[in-house]
Amino acid sequence: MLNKEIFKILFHLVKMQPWLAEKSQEVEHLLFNECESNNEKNLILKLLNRFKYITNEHFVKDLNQIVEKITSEAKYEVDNTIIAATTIDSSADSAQYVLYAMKPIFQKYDWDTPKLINNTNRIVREFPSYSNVVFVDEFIGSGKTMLGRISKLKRDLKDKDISEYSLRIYAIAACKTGAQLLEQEGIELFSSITLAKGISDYYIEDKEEKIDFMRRLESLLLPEFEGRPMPSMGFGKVEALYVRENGNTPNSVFPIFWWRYYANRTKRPTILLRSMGDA
Amino acid sequence: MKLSIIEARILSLVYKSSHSLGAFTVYRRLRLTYKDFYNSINSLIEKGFIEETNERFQITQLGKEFLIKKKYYLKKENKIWRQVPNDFIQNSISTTDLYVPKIALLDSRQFKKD
Repeated sequence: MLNKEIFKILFHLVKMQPWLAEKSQEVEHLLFNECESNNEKNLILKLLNRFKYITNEHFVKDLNQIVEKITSEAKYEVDNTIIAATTIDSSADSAQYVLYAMKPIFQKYDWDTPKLINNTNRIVREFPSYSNVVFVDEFIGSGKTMLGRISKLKRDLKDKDISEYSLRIYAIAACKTGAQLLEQEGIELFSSITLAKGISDYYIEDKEEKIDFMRRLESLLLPEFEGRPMPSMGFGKVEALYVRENGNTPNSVFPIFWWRYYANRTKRPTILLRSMGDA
Repeated sequence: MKLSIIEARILSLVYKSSHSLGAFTVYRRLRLTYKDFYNSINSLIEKGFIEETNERFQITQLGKEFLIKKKYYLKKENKIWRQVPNDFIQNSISTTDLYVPKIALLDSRQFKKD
């Protein structure tokens, strides 16, 4: 049973973020066992309130919107456009999930035989039969990973003396930082949702103070898991507040919400889930 | 329209309150998980059976009519832990029947057990 204090907090929080109704124990643990002061508690509550939660229904709607945009783009035809996941290795990721989920939606828009490729490294061999590349992914954080994939593809195409092609990215959600980086590099990006930084974009005068509160909380966490450092403030410091129903939380999200281990290697209850193998 | 058991219990509890009932009181009295509490309350609000103001719930006219029509408030909860298993039930003994008393239960002074 929850005590009156946490009950009251949840009662108001859940009105804004209904998905937290199932996470009452985890929210209580974070607020009352891990937060040391009311300042930390208030910050966590503000951040929880700012979360962008994508339900399955919302996700399907966004996928439909993206496919509609691709199929209605004048230069894109089923026989000149590659739709590719941003995956580069053999491990499963959300870009492949998005790509696969789009398969029947392309049919809805009468693209009978779309060229869907689940690995970036396999794109080059489809040239010169195809001339447009559309990358799809669920989430873009700092944009650096995406930029790396695109740079590699550009190099590979250059090696094959191919210069006539177009590139565009479609994502369900993108952090403002990542979107700006890609824009600076001249890469076109469409995302259904754009996310601001959870702390830095919301506080001006007391920004550093809030960051210190978060850093104090992060000091409770194991600094490294199997050689991978805990991404303080989210990978690339993008301070993301995003989660999809049943999804694998991106590492761009504040790790206090998903990092599974305390500094002494004991497990902690977390509001969000992310496979630590991807940490 | 049907209510779940939890919804019926909440509606009945709110109906029996003199005016309105605090959210925490409902949660504590029915010993619910937060998820069940939230989902059931939401469902009742969506159905127009209760209203929430300042963390307190009040039954609506529609809710009262539904409750009275369905007589949810009269239905006794099925408390399975109070039901005696069949193996333990035997024929009742008449008050005039003879029986062998259990020595341990007899008053030691009256019957001079020592």
